[in-house]
This record gives sequence, C-alpha cells and structure tokens, in this order.
Amino acid sequence: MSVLQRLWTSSSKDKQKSDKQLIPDVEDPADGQPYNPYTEILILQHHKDIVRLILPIDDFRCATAGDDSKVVIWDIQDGCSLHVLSGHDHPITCMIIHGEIILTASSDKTIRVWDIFNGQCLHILKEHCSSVKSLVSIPESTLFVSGGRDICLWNENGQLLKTLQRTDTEEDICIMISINHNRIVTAADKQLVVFSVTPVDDDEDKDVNSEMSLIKSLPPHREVIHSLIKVSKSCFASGSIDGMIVLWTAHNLLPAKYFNTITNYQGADKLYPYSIQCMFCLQEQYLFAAIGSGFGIFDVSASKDGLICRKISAHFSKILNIGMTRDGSYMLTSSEDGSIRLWGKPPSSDPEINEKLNNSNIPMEKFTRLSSEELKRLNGENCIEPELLGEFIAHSGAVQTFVDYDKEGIVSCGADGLVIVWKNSELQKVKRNRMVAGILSNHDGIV
Amino acid sequence: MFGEYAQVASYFGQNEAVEGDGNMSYPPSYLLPTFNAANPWSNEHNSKHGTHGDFIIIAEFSEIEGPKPLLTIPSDGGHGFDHNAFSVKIMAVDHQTSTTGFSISEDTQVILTDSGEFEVCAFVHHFALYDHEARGFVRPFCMAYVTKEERKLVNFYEEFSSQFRKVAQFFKYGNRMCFVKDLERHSKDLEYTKGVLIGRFNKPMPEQGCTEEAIYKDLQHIQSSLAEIRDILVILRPLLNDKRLESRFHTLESRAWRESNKKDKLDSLSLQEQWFTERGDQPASKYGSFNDAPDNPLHLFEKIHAYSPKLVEMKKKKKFDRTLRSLHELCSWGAKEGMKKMRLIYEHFKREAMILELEREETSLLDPPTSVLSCGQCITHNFLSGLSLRPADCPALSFPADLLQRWSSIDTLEGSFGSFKSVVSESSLTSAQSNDSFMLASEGFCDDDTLFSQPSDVEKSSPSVVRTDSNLSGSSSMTESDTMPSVYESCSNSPIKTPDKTMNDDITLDNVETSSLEQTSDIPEDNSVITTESEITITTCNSESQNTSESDSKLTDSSVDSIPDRGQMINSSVDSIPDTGQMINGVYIDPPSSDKNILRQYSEPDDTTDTTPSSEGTRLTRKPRGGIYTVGDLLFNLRYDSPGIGVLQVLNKYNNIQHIIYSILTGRLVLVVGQAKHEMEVIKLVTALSLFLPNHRRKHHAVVEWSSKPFRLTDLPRIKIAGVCRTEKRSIESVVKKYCSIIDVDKKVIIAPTYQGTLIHSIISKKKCFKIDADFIAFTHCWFMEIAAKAFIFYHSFCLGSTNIISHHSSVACHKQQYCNSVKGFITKLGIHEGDSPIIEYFAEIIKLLQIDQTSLPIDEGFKVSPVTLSYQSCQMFRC
Repeated sequence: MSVLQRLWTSSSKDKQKSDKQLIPDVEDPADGQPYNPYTEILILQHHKDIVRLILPIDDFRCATAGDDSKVVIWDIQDGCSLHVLSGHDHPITCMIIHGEIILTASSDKTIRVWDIFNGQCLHILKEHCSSVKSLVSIPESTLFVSGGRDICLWNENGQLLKTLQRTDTEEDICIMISINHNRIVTAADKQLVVFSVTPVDDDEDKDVNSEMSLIKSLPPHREVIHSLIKVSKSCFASGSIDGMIVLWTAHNLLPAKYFNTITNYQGADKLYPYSIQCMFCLQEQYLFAAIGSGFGIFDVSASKDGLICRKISAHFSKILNIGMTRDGSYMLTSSEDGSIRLWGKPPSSDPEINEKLNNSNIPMEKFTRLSSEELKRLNGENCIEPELLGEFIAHSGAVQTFVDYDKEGIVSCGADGLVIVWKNSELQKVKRNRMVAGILSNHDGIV
Repeated sequence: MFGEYAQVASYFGQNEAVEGDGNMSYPPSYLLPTFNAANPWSNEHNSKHGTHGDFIIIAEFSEIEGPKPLLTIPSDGGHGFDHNAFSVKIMAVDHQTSTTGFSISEDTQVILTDSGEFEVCAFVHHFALYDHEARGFVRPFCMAYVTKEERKLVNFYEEFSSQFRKVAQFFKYGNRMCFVKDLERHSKDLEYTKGVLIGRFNKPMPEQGCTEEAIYKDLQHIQSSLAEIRDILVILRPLLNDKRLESRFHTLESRAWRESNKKDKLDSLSLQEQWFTERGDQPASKYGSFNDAPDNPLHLFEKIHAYSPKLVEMKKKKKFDRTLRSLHELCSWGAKEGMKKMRLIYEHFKREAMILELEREETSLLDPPTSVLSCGQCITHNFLSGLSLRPADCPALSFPADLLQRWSSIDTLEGSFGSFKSVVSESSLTSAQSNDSFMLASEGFCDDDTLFSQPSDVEKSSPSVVRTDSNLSGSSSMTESDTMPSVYESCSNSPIKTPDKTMNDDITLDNVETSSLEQTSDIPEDNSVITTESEITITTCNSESQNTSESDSKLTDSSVDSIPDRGQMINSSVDSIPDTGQMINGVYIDPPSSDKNILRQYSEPDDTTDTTPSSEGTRLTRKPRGGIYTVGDLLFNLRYDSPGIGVLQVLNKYNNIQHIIYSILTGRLVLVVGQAKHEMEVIKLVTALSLFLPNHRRKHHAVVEWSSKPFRLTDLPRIKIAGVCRTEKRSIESVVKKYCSIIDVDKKVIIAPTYQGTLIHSIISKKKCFKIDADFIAFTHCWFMEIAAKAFIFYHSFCLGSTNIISHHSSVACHKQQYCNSVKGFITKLGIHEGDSPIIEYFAEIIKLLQIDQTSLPIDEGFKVSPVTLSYQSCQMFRC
C-alpha cells in the first residue's frame, strides 16, 4: 500500500516537474515596489463569508454581496458602512443596479428589490421556482430579465411579465448580457442562446404587452462558458474553460473569429490550465482575457490571430478577474492565490515621453506606452510584455473580484470575507490636507 | 490643651482616695501629656523630599480641652509631628465675630507659614459647626493642609480654596440638617416639659417641695428657650435648600439601609474614623454606627421611629464632664462625604509642587483635543494649542468629553478671554459659522440645523454660558464656576463681612447671579434664592429679626421676605443674557437633571456607574484625561507597566533596536515574537517599546502585551505593538508579515526596514547617560517635543500651507513623484535628515486624521475605518 502510494506520488511529482519546465516561473515584484502607487488600505469588515460581488453605485459608494446572503453598501472614501441589506437566506448570486434600485438574485429562489438610498427592501420576487443565477437589465427601458432554470421578464415594480420555461435537460442560465436590438445572450453550460425582448412604447399598459422570445441557439462551445462580454455594438465574445474565445456578430449571430484555440485543453489532472475566467474589452478593439493563471491580449480587428500579448504565468493560481485602472495606466489581475497584481510600464527615464503619454487620452497607448501606429504593427511575433509593477497582498484567500474607482482607488473582495479599498497614500494625504485646512478655516480661532 | 490643666488637677483631686489602694490608674489619655517627638522635617533627608509628609489635619477648639487635633489624612500623616502644638497654632485665630446670639458664621481661609518651630506651611480653613449641646451652639473646627512646600500653597491657592470650600460645604450642610433635627426634637421636649410643669402648677403637690415660684421660673426659662430655638430655626431652615447635596446624602442613607438589611452582622457603616482621643477603644464608639438608636445622626431622612419627647431637666447646668459629640456625629453623611473629598484632595496635592505645576501647564495643551499629539501615553504637543475652536460646539462635532475636563484655575486664567469669545461665538455667530463649518455636510443637514435646536447642543453650550457669567466680572479668585456655588455659600460670602477676613472671597454680583440662575433653573418652585443686591436693600426694613439682631441674620431673614425683589433680580439677570438665559430656563427645568451639576453632566458622562448624582471627587483623581497623562503625572507614578519601563535595559541588551523604533515612529506594526517560555521577555520588550508609540492613548489598546491568538490582518488598523506567542501553528498571518517589523526573541533577530536617519541615534546614544528608567523616559519625552516641534512646522507650513497644490495629473506615478519631492524639499529645509522625514510626516498625519475623525458628521450606521499605510519597503534581517 505504502509502496504503491509512494510510487504514485513520485510519479506525479515527476510529472509536475516536467510541466514546470514548460511553464516559466511566476515572477516576484521588484524590491520595495517603487512604482506601486497603492500604498494605503481601508479594511472593511462586515461580511461573515466569501464576498463574491462588488457593484459600483456612484463615485463613492459601492455594494458588496456574498455567501453570507447580505449586501453592504459602503462609502469607500472613509470606509463607513452605510446600509446593510439583509433578507436573503441563501448566498447572493448576482447583483445589478437598475435605475435607483438594486436587484439581488439569490439561491433562495427569490429576487429582492432594494432602494439605493435608504437600503429598504421594496419588493421580494418569489416567482422563480429554482435558484436565480443571473440578472440583466434591458437598456432604455424599465424592464429586467432574470435567469436560472427559467428565464423571466420583469418590470421595475416587480411585476412578472413573461416566463419562458426551459427543458429539464438544459443547465441553469449562469451569465446573461444584453446586446443591441433588445437582445439578450444567455450562457448555460456550453450553450449560448439569444432571446429578444420587445418593450412596447407609448402604451398605457405597455408592460403587459412586452414580449420575450427565443431567437436562436448558437453553436455550443466545447466546454463550460465562464465569460461572456459585449465587445462593441456589432459583436460580443464568449470564452470557455477550454481556452476558446469566440467572437460573435451581434446582427446575424454568427461566429466571426476564434482565438486561442488549444487542442489539448484539459491539461494534467483535468485542471483546464487555459480556462477563460474573465474578459474585458478596451476601445472596442483590444480583448483582454484571463487565461488560466496568465493573461492574453487580442486585437479583435487584426486580420491574423490577433494575439498581441501573452503572459503565461502571471499568478500562482487561476486569475479570477482582470481589469484596467486609472484610464489605462495599469492593468490589474486578481487571483485565487490571494493577490492582486499591477501590470504596466514603469515611467521611462525620458521625461518628455512620459509627459506625452501621460497626456494621452487613449488607454491602450497609456498602458503599453506605444502610439496607436506602433500598436497596429504588433502581431504574434512581436508582442508587448507588460511588467509587474506591484502586488497587493492583504486578502488571505482568493480575491474574487475588484472594481476600479479611479482616483478613490480600487475595491477588492475576497474569500476571507474582507472588502479592502486600496488607495494612493499621497493622494489621500493631499486630500486630508485640504480637509483639515477646510475644517480650520471654518473656525474663528484661525486668524 | 491649655484648658486641661484645671481638669488634670480636679481629676487627681477626685481620685486621691482611690489612689491609695495601689492600683495604677491613669487619667484618661486626653489628660496625659503627649509625647513630643522631634520635628520630622528638621532632618536633612526629609527636607529634600518635600512631598514626604504632606497631610491634612482636622482640629477643633474644644470648649473643654481647648485646641485639639481630631484626625489626620492619611492616618499616619505627620508621623512624629506634634499635632497638639500645631493645632494650637492653627486654631489660634479668633475668627469668630463676637455675637450676642445665634448667628451664621463665615468660613475663613488662610495660609499660615511657620518658620520657627514647625518649618511648615499650612492652608487652613476655619469653619464652625452647630451643636445644641455646645456653648452658644457653636463648635469651631478647622482643617489644614500641611506641607513643606510653600510654593504649592501659593501657586495652587485657588484650587485649595475651592476644594476645601466644597469639603466645608459637605460638613456644614450635613451638620445643619442634624442640628435642625436636634433642635426640633429639643423643642418637642421643651413643649412636653412645659405641659408637665403647667399640670404641676395647676395642682401643686406639696410633697415634692416645688414652690410655685420655682415652677414659674422653669416655665419662663422654657419659654425663652423655645423662643430661641424658634429663632434659630427661622434662620436655618431656609438654608437647607441644596437639593443636590440632600439627594446625595439621601442616596447614601438609602444605600446604607439596603446594606444594613442585607447583612446585619457586619457593621461596616460606622461613621467612626480614627481619633486621637481614646474614645475609639470604648464600646461607646459604636455611636455613629448605622444600626444604632433611632436618634442616630445617620437617620437623616428615615422617619420610622416616632419621637417620644422626654422630660427636660431644667436645673441643668452646662456639663463639662461629658465628651462633646464627634465631627461625624455632628455632620452625619456630610462628614462621610467631606472626608471622602478630603482624601481625594490629599491624593491630588500630596505630589510635588513641580509635578502639579507641570500638570497644570500641560493640561492646557489638551485643548483643543483634536490636535493633541501624544507619545507613550504622554501629551507631547498640541498643534493648535490655544486656538479656540468654538464653533466645534455645533452638534455635528463631537468631542471626547473627558478631554474637556479641566482645572478650575485654568478656567479662570483663560476665562475672561474664552468666555467673551464664547458669548460672541455662541449667541450671535454660531448660526453663520455652523453653516460654514459643514463643508462636509449635505445640504439638507445644513438647512435643518437651527441654532440650539438639539438637546445635545444645548447641553454643550450651557456650561460655557455659566462660565461666562462668573468670569465676566473679572473677580473670582474663588472659582466657583466649575461647581455651582450653593446658595448658602453665596450668602455667607456676601459682601457684608467683618473686616478681619483673611480670605479673598469677594464674590461679586456675577457669581451670585450665576448661582441664582442655577437655582432658578434647577428648582423653579424654590424661592429661597438669595441675591446680594436684595440682601443689601432689604436689611433695613427687616422687622422680624429679634434679639439675634446680627447683620448676618438679618441678611438671611431678609432673604425669606424678599421674594418679589428676588424674582425681579432673577429676571434681570436672565434678561442680561437674553439668549442663553432663556435657554437655560427652557432646558433645566426638567426635574431629573435638576439635581445634577450641569457642567459635570457634560464633562463626566461616564460617571453614571457611580450612584451618587455627581461625584465631585473624580475631579481630583488622576485618571488620564482622554487617555493621556501629562509627563509630570506619568513620571510621578510610574508603575511596572507604564510605557517605557525597562527601556534602558532593552536598549542595552538589544542591538539594532533603532530599526524597530523607526518602525514604531512611522506607524508600522511591530510584533515581538517569542515562545511561551519567553513571555516575560516579550512583555518587557513591548512595555519598553511602547514608550515610543505616537498617538498612544490608554483606551485605544494599540499595545497588546502578549497574545497567543494568530495575528490577523484585521488587527492591523488598531494594534501597533504586540507580543505574539510563537506556536506550532502559524502565529502571524503571512499577509501581515509583509507589513510588520518583527523582533524575534527566540532567534535573536530583528526583521525591519532599515533606518537611515539620525534622529533615533541621538536618543539611543544617550542610553549610557542615564541610570534609571524614569530619567530616560523624561529625556525621551523632551526629545519627542523636539520632533513634534518640527512636525508642527511641517503641519502648518506644508500641510496647511499652499505648498501642496498639486495639479491633477492624470498619471498617478507622476503625482506620487511630485508629492514626494516637495515633501523632501521641505523636510530638508527643516534640517531633518531625509531618512527621518517619514517620522515627521507620520506625526502630522496623526493629527490630520484625528481632526478629520472628530469633526466629521456622526453617522448613525457604521463607523469610520482608519486607513492603514502599507509600506512595501523591503525588510532586512539584523542580529540583535
């Protein structure tokens, strides 16, 4: 028994070794992280379980929700918790903002409607008969759609307008996005389905007449879809855990391009090392995708495969979220290894170039420190390589997601139940100077 | 004890026959000569330590024995000091005005300096208590604070004066309540006797041998006694109007009842203190214990036993053979409270004059509280010292109330200025200012915030109103502003005085107005408010005063009569402060708060645990205000766990400790890690290092001496220094390790960012110069003051100045660079090494955060989170 065990473990170790030879080591940030501007944190404690969702409300407020079935609204300037929305009794799976209300979907089969300003629960929608997994609001209307086993159309007063039953063999809908022409793309397991909502305008009882219907089922991915984003008005992209990214046209719902096609996608021990966890798109052209524990950037408009950047091992384990901050000055990746990493280019030694690029309004130029012309010339052979500028370590578990608040900083949440606001301490110092000067100038003691 | 010679003689005369039987019988000890010890302060050792041997002595001028000491605080106070001789000295002041009848005598206060025999200085407070068994009903007492340091008495005269005045007030009030009760009882006795005598008169019984004449004489005597008692009661009864004191006594008594019902075996409520006389050895000393006879002086309020009158022996002469009643029997609960207060006074003033002065000076640095920089629990600097942040009184701004607790003398010193300011700012300017100061407030809040609309607001502003009144006069070496002078006090301090008063208690109109305002607001229906003006005007037309026609009694009588005038007076005084007067009336009419002292309500909100309505005692205890000690105070009572104890030992034992001190001074968490067997060493290190912790207030728990729980990230905003037990499991979260400096006691290593400045070396290099911790701690605090001075400049010139105008660069990296450069430039100009600039920055940052924290709007839900600065600076390992 023990001999067998030893044999087995040794063989697996050898296997790991051979894997490691292929994969470059994860780098460490430079000593002292001189280019990491996020040097002050606020630790917001309230959640008792994994925090999975952050919803920005305005420039200073955000709502966080997670497995403790509570939503907390924070003022991220000073870390006050403004409201605690409690009512769900199962983990919250999705949270969106819809006008002046917050909608939360939960595994307790309900959707709750909350007032943004006072945290009151306005409605409880109980018509779903299974856990609700995703929500999407229809732009330029008062309607929203929820998905789980079924897909339902609601108006903002919580009236159920339409339910579409799905067959039992189909998996629950996990992700939904809205694209042009009031269409909704839903992802369930490997399957993408497009629905259409027709709100009736200028009618007395328009909501009653609003309709929702299935338009098309798209050709399925090889594996589970984990990421679905809108790229531009004309196209959207979906990524699955086999590493495949498919770009679809919004108009006729056909696959336009395939990126990152990998044949042996399952990897050792079926860990899916190339899985697409998260994507975002910059300037409707550059598609950033978290691929396993690394990331890649694809130029959607390029004629060839469009890969302009590939970092194979950016983190020690899977990246859960990827995003930009400071109008493209930095890219951030958060990972299961508990860290958020800051990517970009250090300021160059030539101050003129710095000045020029700092004044640029094009995020991609800022990020890569290349001009648009130079960017166009990039292809698979000459890639850009963002440098690791800093590492934010404070969470003691996986960093689920983060939201960029520009000058106010970055809000991140993690499996340790903490919400952390990362701020630039110099900016905060200046801000405090102003506040103190303001306080004092309002007192008569200062002459 | 001059009066005792005759007694000694008579004692031996009486006992001549008895002496023959050979038994060695001694006269009572009060007749024995006292052992005269050498003057305790004559030897060199003691005179060096002036604090050694301060004590309070209470003496009385006994009508039997002459001046005699009663008790000292502490009980062994002035050990070896000739209390008898000293009592003679301090009682040798004839402060009694010669009176022909009953009168209310005034207290006097005087500083006695004895350069010859005793070489001491004493603050002496004379007062008189009433005893219906005593000659002229009066028993003169005095209490004296005896010290070697004249400077203490002179510099703190006002405090002594006001504190002793309060003690006397306790004594006198309790005494008056007892006295009135006794008199009432006595008059009942007389009435009863009268009835009996009249019965006899009507049917004379010859066998008794009483002549009609004798009975008639007795009746006449009774009649005059009754008249006299009536007169006295007329004078005294109106003075028993201090509801606050009464309720306090009442609480004590009801508590005593509860206690006595609970456990009747233990007689813990005896009033008896230690006495110089041997009465304590006699079983009679049980007198004054609570479970005693129903006519016990302790039963001030309970009326369970109906009084049965006794027959009065009319031929009674003054009996000088029986001992007079003790102070506690005379004053009941008043004595208990007075003694308590006096002990607090002693505890406070027994410290060296130097320390008291240091404390007074530094206490002024506590205001405004938002800009206090403290290091190692000691106040270091106030960045806005002396600035009035009065609009801070608006409801949005909450101050920790205990920070506002200040000494009365400071109130007086700053009073006239501050009060003027407060009048201006509060009555007329506040509305404007409050709007201004709500820069953070939402619009709606601004609009809703009407002046004084909220109760909290009123409560805050009213004390300053009171202070205004008392200080505008510019008088008041007697600072009564902090505790409301009770009406009696203001009466006895009235301008009608005998010229030989040594006390400078020229309470002027304003003070009395204050009290009248207080009284009206406290007990609106109580009409016995006396104001000086009405007294002066009415004395002439007073008709009721009889044989006891002393100016003082007129004065009090008049006060009873002159209700209309008084009403006017009150009105006028209210009118003189139009806004605030109304406000006070409006608010303090409500009864529950009426018993309380307004100021105290405000300044000591955490006294609620004490069942006494207001415990003035706390004013004198040395609890740190706002969690901060003054340097003098800290040095005076260094304890084993005071911050900095053992610092010399640590500095000598560990090398490279400057890196750790640097971490502390820049707000970086410091963890002292060791196995359980090294617990003592870890605790020692933590205690020693906490000396260097800035913004360290006692209540903030920034220091954890020893913790076996793993240290987590969420502890980071709160804790600055902690001792951590190394366990087999992970004792520090790996995340935290990045942001802390570590002293590993087991491995003898320090892991910390490298210190490259010079400031810390300048203090460490002095470690050999000091032998004991206290000296080094004092030196360190001076050193802190130097750094704080630099930080002060940085705060005012850089942070508040215009140097920090930074363009809104889109690039955060550029911004950072620019800010750091301008800081560096400024700090270099201050003559600070670049490596020390984070210390200066951190000090300024502390103050900024404090101010923002305490001036922002209170939010119902949630609380602010203090930011944590993360330093990505790489750490190095040093051997230590």
